[in-house]
Amino acid sequence: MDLTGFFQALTSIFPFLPKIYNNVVIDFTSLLLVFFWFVAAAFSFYFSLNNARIWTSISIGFFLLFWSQSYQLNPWHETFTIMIAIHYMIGTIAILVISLGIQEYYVFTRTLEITGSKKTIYIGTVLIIAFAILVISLNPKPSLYVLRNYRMMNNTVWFYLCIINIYTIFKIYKEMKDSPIANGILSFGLVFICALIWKGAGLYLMMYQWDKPWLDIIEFDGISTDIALHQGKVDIAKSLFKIFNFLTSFSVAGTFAYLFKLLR
Amino acid sequence: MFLLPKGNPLAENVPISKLQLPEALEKLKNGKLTGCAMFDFPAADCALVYDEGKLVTAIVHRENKEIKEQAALQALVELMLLASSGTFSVYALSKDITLAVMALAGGQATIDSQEIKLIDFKALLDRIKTEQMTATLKIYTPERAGLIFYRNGATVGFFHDASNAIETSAGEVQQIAGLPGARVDLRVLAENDGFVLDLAGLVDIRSLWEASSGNIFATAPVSSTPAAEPAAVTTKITAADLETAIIDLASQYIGKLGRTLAEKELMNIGGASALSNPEKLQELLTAIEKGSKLLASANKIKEMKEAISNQAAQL
Repeated sequence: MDLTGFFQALTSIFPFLPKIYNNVVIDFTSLLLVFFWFVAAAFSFYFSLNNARIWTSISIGFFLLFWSQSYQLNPWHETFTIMIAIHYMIGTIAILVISLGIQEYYVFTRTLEITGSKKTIYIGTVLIIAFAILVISLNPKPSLYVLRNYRMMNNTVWFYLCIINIYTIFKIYKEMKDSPIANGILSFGLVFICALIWKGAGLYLMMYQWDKPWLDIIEFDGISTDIALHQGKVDIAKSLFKIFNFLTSFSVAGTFAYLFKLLR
Repeated sequence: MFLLPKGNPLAENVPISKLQLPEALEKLKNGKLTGCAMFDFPAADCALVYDEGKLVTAIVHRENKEIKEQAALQALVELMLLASSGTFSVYALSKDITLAVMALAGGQATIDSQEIKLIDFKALLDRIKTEQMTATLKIYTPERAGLIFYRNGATVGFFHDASNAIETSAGEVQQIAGLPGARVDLRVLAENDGFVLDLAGLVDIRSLWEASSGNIFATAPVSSTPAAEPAAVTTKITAADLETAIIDLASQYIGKLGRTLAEKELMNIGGASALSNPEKLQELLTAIEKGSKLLASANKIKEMKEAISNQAAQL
């Protein structure tokens, strides 16, 4: 989908925006992915409004995820490197908050106690994001190397928290398997399995420096790469990354739609 | 062998001497039970099949004879009053299994006591599938019995005399089919046997019970208890019964965690006896609702709250 005209018009209305020199073409898959994240964010926000407090953490997490994913659609996202770093941090905070919600859910199934307040979760999340922004702002403008490190940190945190979340969800399911929404909770397990493979494939490519950001960096630095010797592995990892990126967002939207049906 | 499946136990082996039949059936109705209530007497068995609180089938099995529907309810009242011992159990079942049990208890006997060796068993299974029967296939010998449940031709579960719950594999039932002299019954639910008739609405069990318990066959404790005492005893039993009923309702609507949640919240308000105070009842309902929001749908929670309120109103 060619959105060049739209963004050029935007720059003429808001002259402080950087000029658009290249064509802005957003492919249908990227739009669909962001739409799925939007569906997940919208449903989880709805649960957070009308349901128990524990949904608040999960809801904020998915909203932040939608935010960080949709940011990448804007044509200026590579112009402001500080903003890229901030959005990698937001993506990382998203999984931390979601995992907190899942841990709280598990504690609830064991104790049947709901503690804390929505306000604490909202304020806590805002403070963490504000702190991340402060740290990034106080430091030098992130170079391509630094941005790649932020991305790697994001993949690593996601990878390990997905493993913990799958285990916790399985334990939650065991506690509540005869409850009406047990299958909905189990579907979350599927979402995290997809996310584990998605982020795991991304992490693998970065660990061995076969990822696109690294190849972009060395293109100008003259550093050699062994990618040609391992093309098969790289292709498999790239395919897994793409397929499971799509499956994760699709399964998230599907799981929330299913949960909506079960909770109505 | 009279065999009915056991599902999620809501009450198990409760001595019938402790049971007031009209109150017990009222609870099953208000609790919107989908499943089976079973009465096990020394010389007879009785099963009541419920769909969302509606009594859809009643059967009494006595001296190798089957008494059904209204006559079965009449027989149950007599058995309750005359039997010296017996137990009462309630099991929640899935809708699919309940339909198949309805076929077993009141459906048409398409095959009746046929020796398995003499029939084409594979063709029979194909027929169940192609004709999309909602049925129960009973395979039995004098010592053993197994059941296979079908909904619209698809197998939905298995049960046998040594099972404690509905099973998903045929293993044990297949073994029974291989025993010498094994026989088979096929009971099919006719298409128009939908859950429309509520037997409890056709028979006034309370008046039947009161009329029968007033006769000379009434059990000794009922007639010999001094007049002033029953009221006090009834109140105590009712409070305890209410607690059990609320816990069972929470379990039925929310699952295992619902049971624990109800127990915890009842304890927090000081037990079911406090529920005569409307504020305490509201407090309990709010607390149960808060926890249930993470476990069940809004509709289910609403239904559960209504059922609990109805029960509490009887205190």
